Amino acid sequence: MKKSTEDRILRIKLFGILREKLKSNSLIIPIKENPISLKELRKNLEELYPSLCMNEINFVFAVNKVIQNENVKVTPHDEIAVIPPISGG
Amino acid sequence: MISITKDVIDQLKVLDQIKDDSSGALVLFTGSVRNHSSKGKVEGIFYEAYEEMVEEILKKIEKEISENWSVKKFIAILRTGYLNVGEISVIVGVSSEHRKDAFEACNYGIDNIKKRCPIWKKEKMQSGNSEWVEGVMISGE
Repeated sequence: MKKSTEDRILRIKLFGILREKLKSNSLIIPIKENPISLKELRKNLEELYPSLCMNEINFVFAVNKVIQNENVKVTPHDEIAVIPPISGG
Repeated sequence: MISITKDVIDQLKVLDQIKDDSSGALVLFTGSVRNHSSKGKVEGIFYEAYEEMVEEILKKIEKEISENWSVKKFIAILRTGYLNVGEISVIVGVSSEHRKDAFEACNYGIDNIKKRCPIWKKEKMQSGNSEWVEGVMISGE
């Protein structure tokens, strides 16, 4: 069966300073492999958005609303968010 | 009861909701916007949250509290949007038979909200500048 475009993109939620820097609530990232590790996804983000200076702003990934380490693999069906440092309620 | 809201938090209403005739102790914590920070005089704070994830984490914290302390009622409400100095951004209330459980459970609740909930603050200074508050990396499960 032919793969649809939807199988090759990830939608990533943005918050706080990252949302403001990119002037968007979310990003659409094309991926070459599915599933893809969060480690690879980080590299993709840094290549696609060098202006974001990702290395200057620490962040972790949440997958389906749970913080995950970067060995975890994700698919377009997962809810992915980039979580910059939090400042509490 | 847990929730995240854009509405004003009414502490007297929460106090009333947390009351329980079988409880001899009631502890209520409120966190509000200070008029100053390390950057200077503050006019207000904009609160942003990953709301769906905050709701999940609040449910987990509520469950952990019910498993570890003898608590009758637990309430945690977080507010997002722009808040002026003095307005309540977070409230945690606990009622229990005895005070030790109420104090400890309330302390655990607010500590874990601070450490685990994805919430970001942007301070609006009286000088006119606005800056995101430097945060800490979120604590996983």
